[in-house]
Amino acid sequence: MIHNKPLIFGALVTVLLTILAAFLPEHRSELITRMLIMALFATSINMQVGRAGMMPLGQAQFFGLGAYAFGLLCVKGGLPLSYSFLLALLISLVAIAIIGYLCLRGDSLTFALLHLAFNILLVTVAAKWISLTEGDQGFTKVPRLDLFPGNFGFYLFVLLVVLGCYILIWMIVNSPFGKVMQGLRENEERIRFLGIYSKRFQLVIFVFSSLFAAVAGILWAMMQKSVFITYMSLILSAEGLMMCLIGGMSSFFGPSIGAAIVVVVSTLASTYLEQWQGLLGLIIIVCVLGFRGGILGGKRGTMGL
Amino acid sequence: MKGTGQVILSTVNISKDFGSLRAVDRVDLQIEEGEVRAIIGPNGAGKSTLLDIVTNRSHPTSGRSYFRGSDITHLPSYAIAALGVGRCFQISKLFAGLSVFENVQIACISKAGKVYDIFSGGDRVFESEVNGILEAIGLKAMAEAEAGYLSYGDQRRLEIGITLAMKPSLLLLDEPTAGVSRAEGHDLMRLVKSLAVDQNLTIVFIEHDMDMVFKYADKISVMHLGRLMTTGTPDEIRRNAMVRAVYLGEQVA
Repeated sequence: MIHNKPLIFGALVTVLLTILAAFLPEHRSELITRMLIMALFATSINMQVGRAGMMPLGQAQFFGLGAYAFGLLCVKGGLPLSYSFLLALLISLVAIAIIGYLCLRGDSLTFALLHLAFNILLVTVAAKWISLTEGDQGFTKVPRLDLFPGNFGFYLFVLLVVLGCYILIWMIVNSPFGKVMQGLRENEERIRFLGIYSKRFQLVIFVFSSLFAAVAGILWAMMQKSVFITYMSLILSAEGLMMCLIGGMSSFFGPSIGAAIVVVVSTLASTYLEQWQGLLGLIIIVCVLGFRGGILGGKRGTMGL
Repeated sequence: MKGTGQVILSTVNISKDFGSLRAVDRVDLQIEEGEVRAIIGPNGAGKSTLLDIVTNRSHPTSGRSYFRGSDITHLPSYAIAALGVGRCFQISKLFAGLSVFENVQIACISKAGKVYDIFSGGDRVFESEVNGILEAIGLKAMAEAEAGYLSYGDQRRLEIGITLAMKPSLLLLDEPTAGVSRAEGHDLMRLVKSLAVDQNLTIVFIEHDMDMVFKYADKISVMHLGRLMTTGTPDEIRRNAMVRAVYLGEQVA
């Protein structure tokens, strides 16, 4: 019974979004695609924050890493798209494993700060290694994987990839592994005294979560047909956490709702308001103080989503 | 029951310094399989620190510890737990935001080696094992309650349940009856004692309540100022003049 509710919710939202994407004018339908990708990014963060009690302050580094790896492989490397996609994931995986291993050397505060530090480091590399990345200018002509033709076709492609990722994440958080993730969030020492090597367990969570962020980054590069330094900015890292906070970290779909709100507000408000990030801050304050645990909040996701 | 003569846990010349303070001083402790051992001593005698060292929550300054003859001095806590050493803390360490059921379930998942299983459904996994344990610790009716909202005594029970799910051969309890009503304390100790008998579990418990100690322990070790003063049966300890002076004397007089 508990399981049906999110399933129905997910199906309804998918249908609704697809109708919107099909019938909205082009410059608006892209908004739907943005929402989907950011929702995946936010959900990847929440695997750590809401489920496992880890605080990845620099998640955009892996979003950006995916985007750069993919963009460079196909634009500068001239590789076919599907190879670029897979190879970008592989490169991300290696980097994620190394960064994760190093971030998990200390306690949870050390983890959060090292995570942020690696984000700063990667941004600096991307900005200064101009011969490779074009620095602050970024580079364009990143191709889309044209599984289906046209803009709506690209929406469908993104939808398929994001749905696939959601199904995987859903499996992970609802498996025995997912139970232990919750235990980790509640009491790491008890986890250790149950015979579990908690650092290694955290590393596995870290790899899953960061890989999904990399997938989101690759999709984003395709959508924008370009790669910019902002894809791994600290602001994006912070926005991702805000999405989780606004939507509710204790529920599966909360961060996605948060992502949709942030995307809509930032896109619409930025055309009218110069300081849209101020508005975003206001929304967070209202959500945190007004909803107690986000829009879909409640201590254990009272809405069951 | 009394020990079988097989030593399950031993420490050799274990010491622990906190700066200039010697919290544990050259302790040689030997626990035999199947016995219920109480460790008593005034506050600051080094009892909890000794358990911390054995489970490597804290590293000894010198000395070694052995479980079933193999050296566990430098094994990490999770590896010692996996060998079959269960630990309950002075302040219960639970998954406070999860249900009673889930608390025990996570332990069952670990015991079965399913920690990295992402393919099966997790919600009702190990349901019958969990229910069996909840039955044994008398928390079946509370299965869906949030662990953090349980009474103090029930939290103790739950922690014992979580530890039992790991099927340990040695259970270390730090003041199991502290902060619990007298009746509840006796219930808890009866539970612990029956486990020792039924599952051939070896139990080491730290306790301040002398009623509990003399009633439920097979053997008693007395610590004072970091040193292990003596070990004996409840009768021997009751008669020991030195013990009466430094410890029981303070309590009775």
